[in-house]
Amino acid sequence: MSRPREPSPGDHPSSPAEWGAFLRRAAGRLAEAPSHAGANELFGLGRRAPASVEGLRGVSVGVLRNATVEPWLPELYAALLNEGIKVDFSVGDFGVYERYAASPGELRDPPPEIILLYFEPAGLLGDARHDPPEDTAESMLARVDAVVAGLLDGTGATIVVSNLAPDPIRHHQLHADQDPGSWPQLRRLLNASLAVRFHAEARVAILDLDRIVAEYGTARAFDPRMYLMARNPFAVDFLPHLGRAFADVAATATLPPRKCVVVDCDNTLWGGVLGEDGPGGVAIGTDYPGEAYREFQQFLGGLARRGFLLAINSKNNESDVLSFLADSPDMVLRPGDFTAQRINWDDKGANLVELAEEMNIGLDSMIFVDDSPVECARIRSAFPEVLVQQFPSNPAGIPGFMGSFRGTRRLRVEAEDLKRARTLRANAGRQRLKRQAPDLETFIRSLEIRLVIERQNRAAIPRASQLTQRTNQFNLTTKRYTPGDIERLMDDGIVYTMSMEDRFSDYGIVGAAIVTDKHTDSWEIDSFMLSCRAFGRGIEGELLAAVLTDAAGAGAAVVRARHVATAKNGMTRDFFPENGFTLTERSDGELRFEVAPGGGRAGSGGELYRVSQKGL
Amino acid sequence: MTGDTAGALERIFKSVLKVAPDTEVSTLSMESHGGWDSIAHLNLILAVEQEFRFMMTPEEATAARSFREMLSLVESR
Repeated sequence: MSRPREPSPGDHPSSPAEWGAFLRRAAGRLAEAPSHAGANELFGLGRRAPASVEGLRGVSVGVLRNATVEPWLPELYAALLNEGIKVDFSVGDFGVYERYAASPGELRDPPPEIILLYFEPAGLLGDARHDPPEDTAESMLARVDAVVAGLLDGTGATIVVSNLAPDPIRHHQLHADQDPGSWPQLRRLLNASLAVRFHAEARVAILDLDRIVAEYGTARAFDPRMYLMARNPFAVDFLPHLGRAFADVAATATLPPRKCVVVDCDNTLWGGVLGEDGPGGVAIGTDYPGEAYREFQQFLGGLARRGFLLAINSKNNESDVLSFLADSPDMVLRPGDFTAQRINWDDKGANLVELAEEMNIGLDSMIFVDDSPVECARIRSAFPEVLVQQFPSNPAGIPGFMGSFRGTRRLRVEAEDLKRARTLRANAGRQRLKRQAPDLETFIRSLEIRLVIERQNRAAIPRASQLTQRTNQFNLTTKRYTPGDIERLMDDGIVYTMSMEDRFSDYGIVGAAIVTDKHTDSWEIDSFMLSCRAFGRGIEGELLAAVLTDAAGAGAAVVRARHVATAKNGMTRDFFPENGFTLTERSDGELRFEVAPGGGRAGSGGELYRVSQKGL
Repeated sequence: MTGDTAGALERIFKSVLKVAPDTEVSTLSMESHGGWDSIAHLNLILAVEQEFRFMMTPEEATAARSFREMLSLVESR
C-alpha cells in the first residue's frame, strides 16, 4: 500500500522555470504508486503553479456530466501531466448538457479546448432502464448527437464522448442475455451506434469507457455504495485507469502525432541474439516464446497498415539481419516493411538522428522501442522529445506491453493515412525509375503527375488541419490549426488543398495554403505547406501559382507572405524569392515578402503536370 | 500503532484539504475549515478508505466531520 508523500515547505520550486519538471516528476512518482491522497496533493500543487509552465502544454478541459466527477479530476490531472499536459478543468452543472450546447460560454469563456461528455446511464434513463422503451437507443443517440452538434457549432473544441459503461447498480442484467429489448443489450447497441455516428467527425473522439471498465474488471471498477451515497459510480482504485484512458485521448487531440516506430532486433523482433544464437537458435515462430515475438511483429504490421512508418535501429551485422528477415519462414515483417534501417555498431542516438533525416520526420514524431534499459535511458536523456518504450525482457510480458503501448492512437484513421502506407510500397518502383531517368525534369514527366487544387473544400478540413499539425519541414509559417480553426479561416480567407496522383499511387492531399484577407486588395499567405511525401517534384510552385492567379483575378494589388524560421523549415527560406517575391522586411527569425500577383513566376504553366482547378 | 495511524491520517488530510504543511490538523473540522466542503469530504473518504483498506457505511461517512471523529472511526476498524 502506498502512502502519500508528506508535503514540506521546500517541496515545490521557487522559480517558474522549474515547475514543469517538478510537476512531471511528481506525476511520474504517483504513477508508480498511485493513491487518491497523492493525486489530490498533486492537483493542489498544480493549482499553485504559474498559469504557464515550461515544458508542459496548458489545455483547458470542460466536463459535462450527470454524475459526481469531481473526485476523478485529481487522477485525470495526474495522468495528463504524464503526457506533458497541464489541465485547467471546468465542470458543468448536473445533467444540463443542452444548456452548454446552446451556450458553451456558460461552461467557460472562451470555451475549453476539449469537452468531455460523461453519461451515467442511471441519470440518463432513470427508471426506464428497468423496462426500456423500444426506441431507447435511437432517442439517446439523437440526444447525444444534438448536444455534440451544438458544441461543434459553438466551439472549436475536440468533443470527447464517453460511451456508456455498465450501470454501477446491476440487477436488470438478470435474464438480459437473450433479450434484445433489455437495457444491457440496448446499451451495447447505443455504444455501437455512437461509434458509427461519430467515426468520421474530425473533432469528435469516443472514449470507450465500456472497454476500459471491462479491461479493469466490471466488478472491481464500480462502487455501488458510493453511487448511492454521492452519485459517484467508480471505485477509487479504478480512477488512475480512467485517468490514463482519458489522457490518451486528450493527448491525441492536442499533441502532434507520432509517425514512426523505431525498433531494435535482438530480444525485440525475435528472442535471443542473432549474432550469437544464429538464425536457427533465436525464438520466432508459432510456439512459446517465439509466438510472443511473432505477435509483436503482427502488432507492428498493423501499425504500418494504419500509416505508421517502421524503422530498425540495431547493433548487428546488417547482412545477417536483412537475410534473416527475408528468408525466415516464421517472420511476419520483411525487409520491405521497414522504411529505413541503421543496422551497425554505431551509437543508437546517432543512428536515430540519421533515421529521422532519412525519413524526413522530426525526432518528436518517433517512438523508440528497445529491450535494453541502458539504450532506453540514453535516448530518453539525449532526446526527451522521443517517446521511449522499453520492451519487456521476459517474452511473457509482451502482451501487456502491446496492451499499454502509447503514442499510436489516432482520433480517426484518415483515409490519407492508409494512402500513405500504400505510397511507401509504391516507393520502391519509383526509386528504380529515378535511377534510370536522365534528369529531374524527365523524371517528373515520367511520373505523369496529376494535381487537383481545390478551394474551400469542407471535406478536406480534417486533412488540412492534419497537415498544419504534422508538417514541419516544408512549412513557411508553421501555424498549427485544429479543424475548427480551418473552418473559421474559410470565412474570411481561402483554404487551398492540393492532392497528387502519379502513375504509381494516389497520395491524397499533400499540400495546403491559407490566404487571409480575401476581401481586401492585399492578400496575405498565412500558411503554406507541403507534405514530405511530395517533396522533390516541384509541385509546390503550382499551388503558389493558383494563389497568385486567384489574387490577380480578384483584383488584389499585392500578395504578402512570410517565412517564419523554425529548427526544421530551413529548406523553405528561399521559396518565395525563387518564385518572384521581393523581400520587404527582415526581423528576428522572420522574413516578409510581397509580390504583385501578375508578377510572380510560380508554376510550370501546365508544362510538367496535369493540374485541375476546383472551387474557383 | 495509534501514532502511526494518526500520522498517516494527518498526511491524507493535508494532501486532500490542501492546507499549509505546518497546519495543526488534529483540530480541523468541517465546520471550522472553509476548504472542507462536500467534495473535499468525498475525497477524504475515498483516500482514507484506500489508505486503510476498509469501507465506511454511508452513516459513518456522513458522521465523521472532524479529524478526531475520522481518527476514531479508523481506529475502530
